Amino acid sequence: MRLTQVLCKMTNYRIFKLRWEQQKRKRAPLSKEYLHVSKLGLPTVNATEYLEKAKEGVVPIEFDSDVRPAEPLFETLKFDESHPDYRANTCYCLDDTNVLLEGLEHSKLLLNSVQIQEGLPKEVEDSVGTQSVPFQDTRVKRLIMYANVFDSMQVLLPKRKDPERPAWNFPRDYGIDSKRKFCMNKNEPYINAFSHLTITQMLQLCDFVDGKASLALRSQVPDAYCCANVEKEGHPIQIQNRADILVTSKVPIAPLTQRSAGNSIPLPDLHPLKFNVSIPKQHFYHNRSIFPISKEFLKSHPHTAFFHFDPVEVKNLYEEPVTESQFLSRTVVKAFAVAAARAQQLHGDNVKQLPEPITIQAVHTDNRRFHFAVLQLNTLDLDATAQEKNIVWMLPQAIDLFSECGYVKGRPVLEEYNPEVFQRILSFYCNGL
Amino acid sequence: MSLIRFRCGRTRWVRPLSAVCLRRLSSAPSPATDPQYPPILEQGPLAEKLRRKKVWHDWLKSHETVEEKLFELNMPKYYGWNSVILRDNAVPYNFVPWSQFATRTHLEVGSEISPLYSDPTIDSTASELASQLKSEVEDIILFENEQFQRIHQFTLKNTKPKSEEEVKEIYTRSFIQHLNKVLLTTVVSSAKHLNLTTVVPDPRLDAFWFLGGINPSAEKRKERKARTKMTNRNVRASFLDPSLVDGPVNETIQFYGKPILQLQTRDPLPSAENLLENDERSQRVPHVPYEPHVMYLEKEYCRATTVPGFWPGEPHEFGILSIHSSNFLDRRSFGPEDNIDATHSVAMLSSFSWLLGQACYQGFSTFHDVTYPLLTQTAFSNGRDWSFYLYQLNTTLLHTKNSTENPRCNLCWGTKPMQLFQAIEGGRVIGLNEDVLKRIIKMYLLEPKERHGVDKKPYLSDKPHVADIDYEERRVWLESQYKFLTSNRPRVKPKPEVYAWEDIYKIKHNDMPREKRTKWYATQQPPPDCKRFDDHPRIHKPNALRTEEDLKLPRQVRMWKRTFYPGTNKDPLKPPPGK
Repeated sequence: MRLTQVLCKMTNYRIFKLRWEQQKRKRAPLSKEYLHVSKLGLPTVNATEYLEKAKEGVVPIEFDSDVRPAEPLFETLKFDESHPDYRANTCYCLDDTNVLLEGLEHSKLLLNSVQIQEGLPKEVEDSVGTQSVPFQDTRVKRLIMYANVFDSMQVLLPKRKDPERPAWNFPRDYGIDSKRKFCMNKNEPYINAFSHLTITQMLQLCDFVDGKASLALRSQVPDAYCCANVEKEGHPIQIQNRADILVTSKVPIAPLTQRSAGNSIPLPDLHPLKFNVSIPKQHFYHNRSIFPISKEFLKSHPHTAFFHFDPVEVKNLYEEPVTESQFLSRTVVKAFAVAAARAQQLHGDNVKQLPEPITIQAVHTDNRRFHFAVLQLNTLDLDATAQEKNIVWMLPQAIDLFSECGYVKGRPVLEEYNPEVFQRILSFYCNGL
Repeated sequence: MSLIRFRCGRTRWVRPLSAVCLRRLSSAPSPATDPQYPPILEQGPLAEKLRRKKVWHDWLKSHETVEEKLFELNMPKYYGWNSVILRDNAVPYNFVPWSQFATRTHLEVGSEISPLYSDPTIDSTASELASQLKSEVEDIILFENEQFQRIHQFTLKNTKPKSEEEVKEIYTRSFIQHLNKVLLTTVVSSAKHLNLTTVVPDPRLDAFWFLGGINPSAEKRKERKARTKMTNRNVRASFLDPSLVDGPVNETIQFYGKPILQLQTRDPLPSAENLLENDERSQRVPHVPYEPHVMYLEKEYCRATTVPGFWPGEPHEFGILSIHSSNFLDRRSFGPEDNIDATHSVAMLSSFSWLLGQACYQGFSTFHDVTYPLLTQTAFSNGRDWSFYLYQLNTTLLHTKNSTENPRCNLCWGTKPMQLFQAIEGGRVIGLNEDVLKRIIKMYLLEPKERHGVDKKPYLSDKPHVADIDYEERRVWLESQYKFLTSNRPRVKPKPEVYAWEDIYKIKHNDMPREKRTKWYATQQPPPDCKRFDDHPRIHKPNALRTEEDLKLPRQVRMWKRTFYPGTNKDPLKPPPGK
């Protein structure tokens, strides 16, 4: 007979009825405990009745009035008016995730800085390549290979996108995170800047040049959070900045030129744009400037700052990709923030004319491109009418450490290694040793 | 072994050709007067079972590259092994005996940990450096604890508040990396080998091994009992033997560790003791036959990953020193005595795991024992309390009978925790212990030496890594598949789950006879646990990806992507003659 829908339903009904007939006769068996007790001849009482009686005898516990329900262990801070850093007045805040719209010219206008010459200062440029570590290139190549190829970290990398086919979904990549963040166990997320392999291992190599001197004069600080409060034409501006690795020294770097060297050079004109374009106004900001290293530490002078550029983290305000000029300007802004935070720590938050200029070297990198700059901070007076100007030296372009490093067709490859990068880092590090 | 029972995939497991047999038959024909008989094999169900396993072990041994050997461990399981998960930050109560059993380690706890450190030159250099570095270390302690404001201390940047343990962990990691930097810069003048080390902060440490001698669980026993009643004529008689029902089982162990830093070099450390083939201390290693859940250990489906912090091919492939965090001890509530035990057990497990990874990269495995000892130094610290260990790996064999009968055993020397300093008060460090600093420096001073006259990689070919393979398609496939495997990325289609209601109403009792039969247990399919790694349909190769060479091949060959599971398809396809 064909199994039609109707027949199927009938059969199901019959099976259900059959089951019902079978199950309804079922009885719960006597429990083994009951049988055992009755065999011993002891009296038995119905449990529900017994408990009913027992309830009457129970005295309710009185709680103390001062015992309150526990507060939640972790309360995430809400970004509203209850936040401790909420301020009623707004402030222009430039943080790590943002860049200046007009790039290099914009940063010069904002920070009242000028370039007195192309390239780095002569003293720094001359010292490139004078010092070296034994087997320098082999060792640098090895550490680059380790950081980019042989390190076995596998975390979920950001999504790949092809601008020509935006709807195409690439398979998700696993590999070494660009900042090598550590999130193996999701319960304990923490970021460790020392895991930034290339720079830490390069600095370790620099230490080997003269161990005793670098031990006495240099120190490395990971994730130094510097925040500078400045004012330009009546608008308060706050630069919140993280120096991924800050090399500090016992003796500050001597000023590289006279304070008045840049006075005659005019600032760039961005008309019709104003200097504060693309810097968002915020209610949440620090009310003071921050330099993370206390003055009591012997080696507290900022010497060289290494900044990491993560394309996922850093974006334009309208999410366009960062241009080359913006990449260069980020070096200047971040170096300025470190120097200004230090100046304000030394001379107070309201200082304008610095008694002593502060000089700082900066290296900005996305693990492949390296950009080098030197900043001499003369003044924190950023108005257009200011007499003195800050002076910036920088390489006109970023230098590539390599063109390609990774597994190519199943083989580890390092192509077009550029020894100049490490020579420059070494000369920066040894400046003043 | 699921290996033999269900071989239902398209890519067949290829039985290796016995090299012994080939050589005897082909070259040097033996004279007729000296007949060569095949070896007399032990009979019996257990012996047959072990022999079946040995076929797989020999097949694994015959692979030429490191990656293929580690890949092969995953081949029996499509959805991964149901392994006991060990982590270096969660230790149950009274864990020392089990960790000794799981790593076959003889543990000695004392104040002097090994004769290696009592060398007078090392001792004098260390005490000299310790007195020289004392003030510098005090500065670091002060700096890390008082003179530096960290990013998580600002409410603006710290959107998710951190627990006390997380904050402590940040301080510990930062302090130890700072200390390492200072020590390395100073000690390098008296220990030249540090010039040739790679310092790896926050490395990844995974290890996988088989541990035998464990009592079977109730389910396993039931499954085995059911097997004795199988009536299928195709099943071998030895499968049905009831003597195998209560025999011990192998558990797969997967360790995940997260050291603060590792130091790697080109050569291994010199051995503290010679490798003894018959070590009487091995009989004193405790045997804890209980199921893992009795020890509060959990099981998870995961891939067999063995990664000592770097990929195969890295020249600095031996470790000299690793430092681990001991902050997890604060979370435990079993008292200070058990915390010391917990440190010992994690030290044994993580040292063994790291050395096992290094040994695997030399071509040894959990089935093939090391031929020379490997050493590492391990320190556990939360910044203030330090405990030191020296571990010598003599054996990696822990499967089946080896867990109880292996005549070799691993050695671990350890100390109780010691304080580097007592406290920080009023901007000064109180009671810096120079002796502890000396011990830390001694770890850096111990010099690795080349092992002369030892074949370091006896089970590997001249081209020991996948990157050395010449056949490009195979090399690329193996590299990407190996990385996919170690990433533990979940499968697109997850492992079919049997819900409790299904188990009750459909498997145990046939109460839903009219339900549509779609699940694996209702049809004639093998269980998902028996699915092999290569047990998948062939993957189509689109026309655009076919090369000129492919077009010469027959249609049924060229339209499928080729797979290169370990030991298979070593040569490129050749077009049939006449094309």
